[in-house]
Amino acid sequence: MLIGNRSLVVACVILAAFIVLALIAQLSGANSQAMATGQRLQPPSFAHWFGSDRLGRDIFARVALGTSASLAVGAAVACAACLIGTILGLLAGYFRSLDKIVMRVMDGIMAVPAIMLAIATISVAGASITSVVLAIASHEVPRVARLIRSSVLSMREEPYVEAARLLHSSSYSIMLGHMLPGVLGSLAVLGTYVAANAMLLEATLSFLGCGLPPDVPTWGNIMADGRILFRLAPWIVLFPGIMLAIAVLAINLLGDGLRDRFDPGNERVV
Amino acid sequence: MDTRRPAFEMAFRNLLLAVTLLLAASPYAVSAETVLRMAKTSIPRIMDPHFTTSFTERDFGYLIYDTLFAVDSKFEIKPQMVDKWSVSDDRLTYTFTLRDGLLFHDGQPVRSADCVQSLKRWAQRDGMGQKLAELTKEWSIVDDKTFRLVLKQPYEFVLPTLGKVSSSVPFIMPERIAKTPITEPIKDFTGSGPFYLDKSADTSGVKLVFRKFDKYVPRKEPADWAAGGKVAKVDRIDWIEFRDPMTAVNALTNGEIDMIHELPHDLAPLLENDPKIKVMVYNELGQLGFIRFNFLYPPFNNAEARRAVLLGINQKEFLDGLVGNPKYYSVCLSIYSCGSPYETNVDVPTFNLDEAKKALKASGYDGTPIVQFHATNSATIGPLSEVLTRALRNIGFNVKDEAMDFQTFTRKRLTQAAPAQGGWNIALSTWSGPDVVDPIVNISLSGAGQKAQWGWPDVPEMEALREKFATTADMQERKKLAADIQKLAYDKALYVATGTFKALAAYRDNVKGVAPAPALMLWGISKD
Amino acid sequence: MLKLIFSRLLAALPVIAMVAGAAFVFLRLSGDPVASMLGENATAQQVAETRHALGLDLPIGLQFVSWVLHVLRGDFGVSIVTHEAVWKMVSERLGATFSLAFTTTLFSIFVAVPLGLYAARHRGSWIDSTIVSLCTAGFSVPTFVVGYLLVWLFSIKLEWIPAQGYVEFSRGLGSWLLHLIAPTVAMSTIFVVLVARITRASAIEVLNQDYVRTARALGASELRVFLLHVLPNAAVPIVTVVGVGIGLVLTGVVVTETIFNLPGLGRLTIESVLARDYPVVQCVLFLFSFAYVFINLLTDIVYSLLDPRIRY
Repeated sequence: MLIGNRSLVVACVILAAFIVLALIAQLSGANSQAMATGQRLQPPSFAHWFGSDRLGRDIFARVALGTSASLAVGAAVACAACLIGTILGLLAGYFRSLDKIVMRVMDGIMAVPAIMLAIATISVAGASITSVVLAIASHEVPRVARLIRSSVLSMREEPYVEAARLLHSSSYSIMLGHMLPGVLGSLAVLGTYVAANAMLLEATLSFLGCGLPPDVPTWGNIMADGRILFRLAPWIVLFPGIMLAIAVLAINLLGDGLRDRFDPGNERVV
Repeated sequence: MDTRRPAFEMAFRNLLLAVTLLLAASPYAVSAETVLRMAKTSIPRIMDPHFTTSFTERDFGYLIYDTLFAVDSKFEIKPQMVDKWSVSDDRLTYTFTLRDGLLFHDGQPVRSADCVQSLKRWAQRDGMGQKLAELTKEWSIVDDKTFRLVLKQPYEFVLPTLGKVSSSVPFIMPERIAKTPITEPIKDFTGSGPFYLDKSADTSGVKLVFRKFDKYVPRKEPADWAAGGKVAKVDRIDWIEFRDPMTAVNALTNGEIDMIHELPHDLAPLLENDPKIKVMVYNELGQLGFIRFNFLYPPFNNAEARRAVLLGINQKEFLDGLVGNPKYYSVCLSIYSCGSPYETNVDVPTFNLDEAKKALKASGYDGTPIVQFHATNSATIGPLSEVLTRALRNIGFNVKDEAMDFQTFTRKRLTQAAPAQGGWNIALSTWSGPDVVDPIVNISLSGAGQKAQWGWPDVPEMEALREKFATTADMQERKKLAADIQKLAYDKALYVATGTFKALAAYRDNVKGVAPAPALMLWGISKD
Repeated sequence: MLKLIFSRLLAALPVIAMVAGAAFVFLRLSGDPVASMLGENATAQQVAETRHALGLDLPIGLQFVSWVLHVLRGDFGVSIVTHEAVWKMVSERLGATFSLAFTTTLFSIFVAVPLGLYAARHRGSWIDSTIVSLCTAGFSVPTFVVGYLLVWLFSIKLEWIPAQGYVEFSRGLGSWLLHLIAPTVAMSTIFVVLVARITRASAIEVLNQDYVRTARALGASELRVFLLHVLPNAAVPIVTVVGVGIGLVLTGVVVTETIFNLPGLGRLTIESVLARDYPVVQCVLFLFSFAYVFINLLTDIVYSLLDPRIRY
């Protein structure tokens, strides 16, 4: 039983399903803003599979259309944060002189609560996917950098690194050839966490009214919209919430699968 | 390792038990004083009702201040702090005499000088106040209890100005505090109202504590809206901020608070079935959404384009979307609040999408996207704006929906830049019902161009009509003028109302004496 | 060790200054509070007059320098909106936030670390899968959903705990704890999941090491193996993540404080940012910067205690 492979397969299947759903929703020209105020707050039925919201909009249409925005935000933030964070973490962990400066700057960024950074960015740059991704990613970078750095700090003392140094390998080749593979496992796990956290942070920003504008539905802003109606019309929060949970599960499985793949110690099965 | 988990669970259960016992023993302060714990989504922060028209500050003002005149439920102006008043035959001189026994919270008597200075401060910001100030020749103080207002020309709205019920209200402050320039908020909250602000109370910044002012002398008549005797029947009021209305509902259900003011309409069903809780329409005049046009730039510098919007929006759609339950809203086609004296059906627009489309065509609209400013994080403006966007698109406009938070919205709508350079064409905001009962108090009807409300409508005939209205003594004449003003307002489509939604209050059954009012008025409320 | 602490604190100063400066400029780019303070009928002229009276139209550099000079004297200035002393506003909110952060961190560590170790021990079995799935589920649900569910079940239906509010520690341990139970559990969902997953991942890596096999071969009990060998060696990433998690708690506290009506720093921050009340935002930023430096310093010290190979 190779867990790695199974997780990877399941994850890929689920994510593929989401992508297909997103494509169908976009191409079918469904209108996320089609309002029918006489039909507000209807529970799930044949007319509205996921029910309707307070303006009479079909939740299923909105959730399906929201798939692309939500996944895009998650993926974009994860890629950006992991790329920048890894570079910074490798540099900080390997070069002692850079360590102090880089980590203090990271401290500085982390000292700014994500919400504050996000709102300030959005109010200056306007509410759009780019500014939201930028705002969330900038907060996640230090997290990645710290973890990479701590792993590098431990690995730096490993015999094989000493050996490589003695063999006059350049720092870059050591970092890329030896350390990077060593951190990929943790990075994959963390990356999935970052992606999921980004999607949740986007929901919080929507909760505060500072996320993407409502005519771009995301699971986050559909949930935020239905927040105070939770006891009366739980479907508005539950359906996007379930989609979010499944997406996050898939992303985590993906991370696990990748981690198991990259970690050589895993060839032995429990 | 495996033994750790069951041990852990046991420990947690014991902890919970211990805590429950501790709770039973720990003092939940049961004191002799009656406290009304009231929840609202925000507490006043600026705390200066002259400085800002914010409704929170207005409600704060009603607790700790008093007014010279006040409005009752029949829309009549009655004296409140004033005992006797008279007008000279030429209608230019008003003489006011204060009641006996009026005291400020610091024990000092209320004098004419306090009243005059307060009015002068208030008049610098408020629209009606400014109008009165323009027409004032001078204020003179006869003695500590009597003072005079001398006008340059007769003006029929002196008393309605002094008794204005809603934002902003001409509350009376001590002279020394009223000397603060209007560009700075006051720092001392001494007033002469039925309650006083207890600044020494420990609040953690999320509530305000008010205590009964024992030396307040209420009028003898029964309380009726802002008029009549304001009798404080509880010892203390805790105004607690609940940012999340769902939390407030839970707290009310559990008895952790006594009253919620301005309960979101969608949450009413959760409380209506609870036998221990009453839900009522607190303010029939409620609030209304209104759509403003930017008169400075195309397409809304053209009356036909504006009329297209006027004819193309269906109030019911906006109200259904925001409120849902028809019990809690009213479609009001008159430009004046429904149920108020000047309400009239003259020339009211009826929703007709075809007419709207025709008007749009007639205006020569070329399809350039119009910029709609949309404040997303307001519980009312957010959804209403979404309905507006769709309505505009149905009429045939190309809409660029610019979302922003409320703060940015209030700032950016004041910009006169072109829409293509960060400006706006159309925006929706909300205002209060009591503030649109007549053409003078209704600032949105001003056609004074640059001096008008954001949108800057330039309609000189409107100003002339309003001027005439303000100087007409006869009520029948005034009603006719009001109708003319309404006709002009609709012909020119100065602004478009999207329907009135009523304010709700919910309270526990041991709270008595809650009466409908156009603002939050907590006198007369007692608790068993 | 002392040298480390000292050099860190010293190095932190320019960074805090940089953050303060960047924030100062950045905040002002997003507009000021005056227009919304004045209300619906404000005209552009009134707004300009009030801005001038409040000193908001001075050059940014001048405003920044003035602020710095005041801070050096311990004066964080006065709120633009309420005119109260900023430090007073901030300090009266500290109790609730610290209490919540403290209970959440403690609760999360005591739940997550054993959970992660347990999952690692039974890796690949159904126990492991269940724990991992639960973690994922708990993780993907937004805090406000967890919060509302907890209140609905334990407060409204069962009436075991209050629905909202905060009672200071000084007013009774019982009330303090009772009011914090639901918010703590709601906040902990994310923290627990994060720590449990990293604990599990890290423990798994350690379990594959030779010295663990050796210890087991030498007859050490499972408990001994885990406490003495696995935990200390797996600790470094766990400690990192705990440090990071505390940061998460301090920022995630905003939503929880809103739902449970706790008078905390998170709520104050968000309201001040939304209201563009700069002096308050800057003071809070200042506090947070110090807190982060402190937490990171602490985690680095713990690293060097746990892993003697790590040298600075």
